[in-house]
Amino acid sequence: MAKIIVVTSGKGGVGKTTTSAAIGTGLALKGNKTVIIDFDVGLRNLDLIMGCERRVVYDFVNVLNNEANLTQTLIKDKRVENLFVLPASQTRDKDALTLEGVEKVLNELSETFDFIICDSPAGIEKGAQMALYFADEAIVVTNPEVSSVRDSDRILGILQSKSKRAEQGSEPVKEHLLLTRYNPARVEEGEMLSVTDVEEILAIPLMGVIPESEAVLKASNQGEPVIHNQDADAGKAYSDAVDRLLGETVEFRFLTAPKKGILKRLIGA
Amino acid sequence: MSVYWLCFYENKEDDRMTNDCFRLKGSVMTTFILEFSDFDSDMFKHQLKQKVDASPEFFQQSPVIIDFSKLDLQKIEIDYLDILSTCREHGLQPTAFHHHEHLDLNAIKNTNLAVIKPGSSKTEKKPTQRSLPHSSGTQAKIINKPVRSGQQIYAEGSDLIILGSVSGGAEVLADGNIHIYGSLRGRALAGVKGNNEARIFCTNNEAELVSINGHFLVSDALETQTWKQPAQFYLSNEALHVSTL
Ligand SMILES: Nc1ncnc2c1ncn2[C@@H]1O[C@H](COP(=O)(O)OP(=O)(O)OP(=O)(O)O)[C@@H](O)[C@H]1O
Ligand SMILES: [Mg+2]
Repeated sequence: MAKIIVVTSGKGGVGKTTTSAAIGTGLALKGNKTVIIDFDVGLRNLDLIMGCERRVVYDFVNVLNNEANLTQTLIKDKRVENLFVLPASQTRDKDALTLEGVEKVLNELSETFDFIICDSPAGIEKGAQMALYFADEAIVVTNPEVSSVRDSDRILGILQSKSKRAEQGSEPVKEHLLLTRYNPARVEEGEMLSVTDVEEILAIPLMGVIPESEAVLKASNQGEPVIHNQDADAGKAYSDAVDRLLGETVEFRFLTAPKKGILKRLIGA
Repeated sequence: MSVYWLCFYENKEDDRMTNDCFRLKGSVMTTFILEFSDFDSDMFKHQLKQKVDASPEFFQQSPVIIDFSKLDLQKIEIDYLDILSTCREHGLQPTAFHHHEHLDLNAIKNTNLAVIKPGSSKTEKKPTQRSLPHSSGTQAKIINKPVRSGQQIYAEGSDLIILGSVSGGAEVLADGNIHIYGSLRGRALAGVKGNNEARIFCTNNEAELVSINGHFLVSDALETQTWKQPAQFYLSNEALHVSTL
């Protein structure tokens, strides 16, 4: 039985797809058979960030409509063993997804995979609710600013009321907070919320803090999930987050702004 | 003129509706009620401007129900359209008129607004209702987790106890008292069916709005006293007071 994890946020552009790609890759690197599903029907972004856009033949909607089977549709990652992508359709709209169809696909994937990562579209409406409905766990991606935190809070409310687990009254969806685009220098200037502020408001366990990093943009442009770049802080922070997701206790890094070295201070930089 | 923040509508979900593409749901909603205690067009314009200027953000796009129930409409001439345009100028959205025996239905028709008769407004309360939250044996409603943005919890006929925080954008209501063992960042409305004795308690006050029996304060006014401290809210002489716990 696979564990189904939704990556969700409410607000758009906070780093869900970046996170889905990094966490999915990280889980596979640790030997877990993992598939990342792009629920953002109509936009299709995940395959670009995973660097497999040229190999998309069929998509999620084709599978739902029985126009292709999963074996034909899943794209195997070129770099990592055990990692697959189920791309979204670029030409259909969100209404192409139905709960019954999604459930059927998830059940079939569950038989052979360890982890199913669902990259949710932005918003709190149907598309986002579809992506989170069957989740066992949720990674709530939040940026350290008021509007993003507010939207994450709403998504947490929806997880607790509109997910399958909530509707059936079974054990609630396990929630993880992932703070991304964290800029310690701006936090210290009081321009952004701190980790503690966000934790206080959302009151769910913190699974990672990903610093704002140019490596992320570079990684997306190259179609290579940032977790492969272990020279970059963002790559290391995603590795830590994967370890925590798997139950390990890992100390948090990159929470404070780098101190200026003595040389820089002398030059007055 | 007074503006109330009230729980105005309530009934149980109609399970018999079997229609496929929609269902009719009863729900508890809160809205502003613009209750006229007197009517003078110029005075109204002036006072509404003052109220809205005091917390402009808060009133933006707020639905409002217009209530003349305290006026003798047989004696007073009302320019309905003028009231509506004044409201809209200030960002309020008039949605309905409160039922009144002598509403000029012809004039109302032109406004395209509904006429509603709230099930339980403060003007219609019965003395027995007032004591309901206090009657011994009434079980308080207890919520064991945080109330998230966009969620609404209503304790009908009882106190409400929340073990956790109430997020910004969330709303908790009770006919009785409200106890929040956590931060109040959203809205809390106690005594909504006309209980002046109801109180609100929280261990950290960062509220957007607190209201007791329709008398309310919004965060602009709240931020001065007991902000980010344990606080209680209560009515005294028809005014809402706040003090540290
Ligand atoms: N840690 C980071 N540092 C710098 N830039 C980042 C970081 N994380 C994400 N970004 C950038 O933010 C933008 C949005 O990221 P991404 O597409 O992952 O967000 P999303 O939540 O999936 O968006 P959408 O809601 O549109 O699906 C991208 O340009 C990405 O490169
Ligand atoms: Mg995305």
